[in-house]
Amino acid sequence: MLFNSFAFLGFFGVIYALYRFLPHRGQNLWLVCASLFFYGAWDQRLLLLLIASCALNFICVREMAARTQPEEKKIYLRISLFLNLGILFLFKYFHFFFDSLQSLLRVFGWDIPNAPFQILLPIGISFYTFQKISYAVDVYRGLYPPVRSFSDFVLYSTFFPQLIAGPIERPAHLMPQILRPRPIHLEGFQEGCLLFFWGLYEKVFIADNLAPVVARVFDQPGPHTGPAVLLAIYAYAFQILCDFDGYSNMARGLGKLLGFDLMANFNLPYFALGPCDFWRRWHISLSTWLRDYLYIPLGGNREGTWFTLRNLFLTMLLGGLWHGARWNFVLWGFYHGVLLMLAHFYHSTQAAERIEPLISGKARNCLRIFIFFHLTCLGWLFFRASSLSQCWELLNSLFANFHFQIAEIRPMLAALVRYAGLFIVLQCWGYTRHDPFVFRRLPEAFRGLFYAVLFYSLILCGTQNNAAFIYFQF
Amino acid sequence: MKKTLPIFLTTLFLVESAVALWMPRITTQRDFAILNAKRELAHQSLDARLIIMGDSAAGLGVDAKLLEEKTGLKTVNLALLAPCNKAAHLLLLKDYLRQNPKPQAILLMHAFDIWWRDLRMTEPWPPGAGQTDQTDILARLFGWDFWKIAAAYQCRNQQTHVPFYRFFHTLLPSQNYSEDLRQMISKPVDFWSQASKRRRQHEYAWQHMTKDQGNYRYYLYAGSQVPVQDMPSVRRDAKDDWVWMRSHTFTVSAFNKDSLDQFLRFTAKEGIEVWIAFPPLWNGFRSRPKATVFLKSHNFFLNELAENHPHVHLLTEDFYWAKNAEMLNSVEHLNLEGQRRFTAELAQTINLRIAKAQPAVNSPRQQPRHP
Repeated sequence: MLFNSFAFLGFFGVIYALYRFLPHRGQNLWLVCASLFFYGAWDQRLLLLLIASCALNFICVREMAARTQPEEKKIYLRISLFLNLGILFLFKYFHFFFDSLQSLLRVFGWDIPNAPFQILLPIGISFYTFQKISYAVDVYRGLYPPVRSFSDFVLYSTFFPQLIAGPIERPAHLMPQILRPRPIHLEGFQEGCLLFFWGLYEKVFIADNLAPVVARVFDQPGPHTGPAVLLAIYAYAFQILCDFDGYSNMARGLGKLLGFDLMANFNLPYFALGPCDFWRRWHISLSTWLRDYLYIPLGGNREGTWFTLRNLFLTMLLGGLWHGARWNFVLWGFYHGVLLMLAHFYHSTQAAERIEPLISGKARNCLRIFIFFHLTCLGWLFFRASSLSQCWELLNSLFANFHFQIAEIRPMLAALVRYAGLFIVLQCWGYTRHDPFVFRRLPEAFRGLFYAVLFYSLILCGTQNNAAFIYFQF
Repeated sequence: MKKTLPIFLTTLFLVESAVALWMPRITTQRDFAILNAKRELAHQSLDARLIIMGDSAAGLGVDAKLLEEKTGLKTVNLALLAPCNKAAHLLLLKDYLRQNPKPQAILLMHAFDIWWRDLRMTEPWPPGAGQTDQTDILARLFGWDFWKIAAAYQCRNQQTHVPFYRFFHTLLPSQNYSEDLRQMISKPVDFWSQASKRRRQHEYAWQHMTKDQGNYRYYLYAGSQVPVQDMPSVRRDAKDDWVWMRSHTFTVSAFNKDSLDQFLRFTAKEGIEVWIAFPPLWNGFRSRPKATVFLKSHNFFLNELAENHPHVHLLTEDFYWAKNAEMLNSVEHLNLEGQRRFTAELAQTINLRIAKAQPAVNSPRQQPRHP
């Protein structure tokens, strides 16, 4: 049941109609039922896995909180981590590592048979696993007390607006909202509708319309010319941003309608000045999760430059692998790890102090944004490519076959301008005002017209193929 | 927000009103007027014994007036256009039966590609032409009745995906003219340069269809006139069809299969015979081996239908291979001369069929309920 489907509209209409009239406990139980139904609509078999994983986590964390000795607490934390990561490994990475091992052994002449079974990938497993891990770790660290009610914990783990693709919430942020009554104001309703509408526009009008432009290069055999590859990468950069940001905004909008305040996941990421800034703006809930539960436990920047570099690199490599069980995601993580390492090196060796004063403030920022946007785009090539050989082929086209074929690039450019043009203008304006939703600053009269333009863009030119969100595969 | 929402809603209201009032005059979807007129015709008291159903191949291929004269069976031409399949014909038949007694038979005729089209098809047909979407057309034509059929189809075929979201689309005029509006935005120069021409055409078509209402029941258009012969477009269409036949095998889409099944069940239950005629086709295809292989599959499919259903009969055994001089502007469309010759052939077969069936006329099952 995709957010951009009428089935979901019907589902949410029913949920919301009753939700408004229930008392607080009733609302929570109603949301648990709705969330389980929502997840079960994808695949009922995987619902059992979700409930079992919730139950085991709940018991583990409660037992951990009941212990007074740190060693005993640690044992329960380890059990909880082992459970969560074990499930994630088994369902998401087993075939990847098995196939990779098989290929490796084949090089040495050992032929091992294929796995006699095929494991289904549960939708949203990476997201809800990380959310449960953050709960166990935060309780262990004493940052948040364990929740008493199992249904509240299930709601925390399976809250349907953010169950499938985040934002990955923390107990300190989401749990109090579950435990306390949630007043529903008119402002919250308006805000929720606006966020959902904007998210729908991003997904259905921009992301889904740019998908064929991207597929023209990435899903068709080459050779392609350099400009065509470049435009396809640009298109993918906006497709993936609008797809994921669209989902996040829809999730936040639904949360607002239900009285929740989910965290923002994006903040004008293509205006990042460098890799550190990018990860403060892109998929914020994941990057802060990786920072708090992986980078800092690895040692963070406390143990000297080389350890810092190692930690940055490992964090990004695992962050890449988190996205999917494919080597190109590992390569993408590797690439971002290298970028972070280089950025750290650049700033720590005073190179920045020597180079940056050469250009004045605004021009410097523009240049940095331009350079880093293109470095990010290069990363998207690794991310979108179906194989490492395709990465190489496209890189070859991009740099060694750069000549203009107007007939090839004209429709791509036209589509990019038509579908992403307004969005880019709004992003630029948003950057100058430090506000991703800058259109809310329009005078009221213009805002009504602006929303009408969005509405007609959506219903006349929005795709109606109910395309799934890119991040659902993770 | 106090002003934003009223301004937003007012803008929507103004745009929708403008589209509803203005777009019918300049729309590129002129064919829709024909479909609507045919549906209105089905609501009239016609009292026919033979109903012609199918696509434009039947609408332009059969001269219902001539057929009526030659067979003595009161005939009405309810043929629709390409995007309408058996679901549309069933709904039209039900509409017709609300006002009229049961006919003796339905003469069914389709171009070969009709069976391939699916409910969700938005591919251009013929290649290079505008997008065709059965769902939108059927929903606009039959409204709620179509959605009931679509819901029943979804229940019978759980694995298929019926685009129910389009239900809401048909409520907004801007959605009904979305193709025009898209063209207006993406190719404004082309759209406006053609607008006045389309307006004139629209007025002409409207006159054509309304002024001569008496004849409208016999022909695809209201009058017996058909457009002048256009050989270059026949060749162009033939080339497109030929390219398509080379790259496809003959298939019947899931929705067509299901709709046909419903149509045949209904006609069997009502005791209405279904007479299938092979459509006319440009004889240039006969020299193309791959095309003949494709068309053989089509023939096999229709033969199977006649074998499996006792109330279904084939009137002809092969396509009516039309000569160049008989062709209009498509490989399945006949001009007046072709229409006359083909209708005469059909009338002869129908007379033979009636003569053969005479002894059985007195049996209660075969007797038409028409007085």
